[in-house]
Amino acid sequence: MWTIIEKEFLDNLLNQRLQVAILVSVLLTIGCIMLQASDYSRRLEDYRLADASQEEFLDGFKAAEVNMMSPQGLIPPKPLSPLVNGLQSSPALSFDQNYLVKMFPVLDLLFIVSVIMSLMAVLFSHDAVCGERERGTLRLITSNAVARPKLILAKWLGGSSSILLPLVISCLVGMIYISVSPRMQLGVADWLEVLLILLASLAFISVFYLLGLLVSSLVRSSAAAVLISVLVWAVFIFVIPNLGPYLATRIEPVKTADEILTRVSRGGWNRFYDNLEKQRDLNTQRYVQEYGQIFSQCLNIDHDKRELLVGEQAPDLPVKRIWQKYSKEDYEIQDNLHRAYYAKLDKLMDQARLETAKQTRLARNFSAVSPFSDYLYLATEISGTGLESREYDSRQSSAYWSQVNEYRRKISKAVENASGNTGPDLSGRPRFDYKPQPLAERLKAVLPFGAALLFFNLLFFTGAFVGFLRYDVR
Amino acid sequence: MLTTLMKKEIQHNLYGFKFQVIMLLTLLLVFSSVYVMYNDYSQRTRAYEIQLPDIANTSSLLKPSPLAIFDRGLDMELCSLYETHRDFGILSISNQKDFSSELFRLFNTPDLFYVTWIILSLGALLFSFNLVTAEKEDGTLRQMLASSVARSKLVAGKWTGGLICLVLPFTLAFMVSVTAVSLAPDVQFGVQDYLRLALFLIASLLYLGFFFSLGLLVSAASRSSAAALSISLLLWVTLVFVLPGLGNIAAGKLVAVPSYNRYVVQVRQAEMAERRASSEYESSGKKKDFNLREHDPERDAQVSDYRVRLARLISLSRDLIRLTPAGAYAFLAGDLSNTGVQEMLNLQRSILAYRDFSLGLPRTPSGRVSGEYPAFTYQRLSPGHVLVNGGLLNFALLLLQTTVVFAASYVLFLRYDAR
Repeated sequence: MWTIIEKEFLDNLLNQRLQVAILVSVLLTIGCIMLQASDYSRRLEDYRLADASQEEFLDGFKAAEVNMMSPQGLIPPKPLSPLVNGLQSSPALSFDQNYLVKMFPVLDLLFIVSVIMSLMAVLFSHDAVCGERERGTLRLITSNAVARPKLILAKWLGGSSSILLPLVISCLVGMIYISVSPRMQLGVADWLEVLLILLASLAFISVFYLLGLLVSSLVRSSAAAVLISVLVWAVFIFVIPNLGPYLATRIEPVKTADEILTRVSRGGWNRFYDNLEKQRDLNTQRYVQEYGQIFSQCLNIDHDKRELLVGEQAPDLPVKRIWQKYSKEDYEIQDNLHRAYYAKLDKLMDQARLETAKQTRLARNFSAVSPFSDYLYLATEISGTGLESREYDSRQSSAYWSQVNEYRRKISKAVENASGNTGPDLSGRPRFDYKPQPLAERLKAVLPFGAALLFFNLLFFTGAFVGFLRYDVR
Repeated sequence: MLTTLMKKEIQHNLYGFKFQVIMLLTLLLVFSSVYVMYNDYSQRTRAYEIQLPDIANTSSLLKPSPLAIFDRGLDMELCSLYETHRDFGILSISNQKDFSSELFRLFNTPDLFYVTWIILSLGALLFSFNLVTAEKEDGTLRQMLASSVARSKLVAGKWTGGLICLVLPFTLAFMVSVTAVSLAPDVQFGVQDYLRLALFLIASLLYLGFFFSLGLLVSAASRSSAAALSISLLLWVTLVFVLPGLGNIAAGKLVAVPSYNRYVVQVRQAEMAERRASSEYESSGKKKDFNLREHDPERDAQVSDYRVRLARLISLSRDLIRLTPAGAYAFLAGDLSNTGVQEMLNLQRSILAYRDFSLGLPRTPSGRVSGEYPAFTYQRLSPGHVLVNGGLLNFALLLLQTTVVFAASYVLFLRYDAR
């Protein structure tokens, strides 16, 4: 069997096509990694500058201006994003972004493996059986009492290892570049992630080699085999993954954020506003009844005159104290009702987020029928640029924002109580302390997709095995 | 003789396994993509209709384009809500981000444009990569040439016959899809839309013609079908994926633009500073006129500078990318569908012009606009405008590329060794 494996391996290796393919893959991989690394270091520097600039800007705020502070929790670029762009490369577009990057994304290792190397794998395996039959060598081999199971197994092992050579060489050269490049400083955990991505890539390419082998074991001519193999490849790489999310929206439609806001604002806001006005009126009536003219005179005058009577610079008369008490209660009514309204809105939005998560899971399950999607989810999650990581980062940003809001409320209260003093200094404001999601958690989320890749390997191998056992070698 | 050769090619293809597989795939993909994108369009239109009554007339909320069913392009971005806020007359531009599934961003939109751009171009190559080499390997090429069939007529017959077989299923599927969509209750196509669709079809046929011709060229330059296949696929990957991506990279090296993150931080700082300034203004009790343009001109300059550089980067990227057939086709299809780069640039210019116009309106001392606030209006670009501003150039580039490739295959075939 080792002889056959060696024969298959050398057949491919000495083939000019594979030599060209190795050269092209290595050059492309190096080129992509270099470009991406340069982009990564620019993004990292920009992140550091943006963070420093924000800190410096916020240092200039006084306690009385705390409600105008709206710091952003900045997420640094992921160290492995030069290899696997994932969601980093296509941020949700807004008014001021370069949308041509969305239309023509920059290539990364994920693309090279998933499109170019998988295509190579199909090209080199589509005539592994039918090609040999056409050349007449298959009949010779099988007539020499070589067991068919051993033959097909050796074809897979020998052939796929020759195809994996471009991947291994490209990744080795890429890793050498990364390790000597000052722009990318990877830690031990990062290198472990690189190794896991490499293993996932090996499993992925093997799937497509086996696909070619399967087709080859089922058809009689190479011409038909290549056509079927490449078309099935195209369906797996381009059709099924892209259709999955859209099918999911058909089955589990989700309201957009704008739709929810509009529905709530149309009905809910009017009701809220009416209720608010009613509560404020009741409170005002109560004060009029309790304090009579002394209070009413403040209500019925214009802002400037009222400022003279009850403003900060006005003398400390009973009317001022009554007005201040009224203002405080009026503010509390507004504040409480606002909070209740926005709590309701938040609840609707949370519900929509849950529905979106459900839709996402459904879409992922649909698209998992394609080995490309399984590999994409695995590779992006391992590198920290996938859906789960993004969700994790969003939760950190939301938690930080809640901390900032809490801090703002606390300081506002302190400023009120300070009455006339500048209030506390803001050096103790919350800082965003970003922590990436642990690898174990990310892997746990995408383990099923890794298992799916292994399943495809088994499925296609079994099909090729059975097909070859029954293959007419004449 | 030419007609005979064409007929022979057409018959040969029609009965061939290759044609049947590619035809089936074309029909399946075209119909399923139109079905999926029609549903997407319906959902987006429904969401638009729910929102519309409550949107201020100073904001931009475009109705989804029905042509986005065929090429969604940047329609999601075009149809985002861009609000111009009024805060003591200060205007800022934001857009409400959707929290719809991020999964969509990992994959491409499976619209008809994508199907043609990626899959059918591959299909066109597979259709033609062995037009010459297969006949040579079968021995029929030598026989035909020995019976004094002119090589020029032979290659022309192959090209024409093969191309007809390739584009017929696509054209048929496209016309059936357009008919079906135009009958849908929530789609109203006007005369201009039909014109756009006709031009979209022509652009798609030109694009497929390029890859068909490329396959013929490779076949005429190769000795074996296996070699022709490998070269064809390598060229396909390079022309569809690698070169257009390089266009963005090259432009990025030539035009320096600060990163988006840094820009967002600057804008937020500008907004915070403006809020502080207006708060100080309010509490100071000043009565003089509120001159908005005094608000931190340095930050305003930074924001303007970013936008100018970004526009320059996008323009240069576009000029480089359109030199590839995939790029020219992508821009052409998007612009014709009102979902492309031209439309996006035009909308951005309109929103910014409206903002600047509003800032220049006479205001009360407190900063509010005196009189009625003017509404924002926007009209999508006409086909004529699209063609004059780059559309014709993209058409010309596609035509030129196809012609050059066919001419090269013609010349190579004239010198082909049929033994």
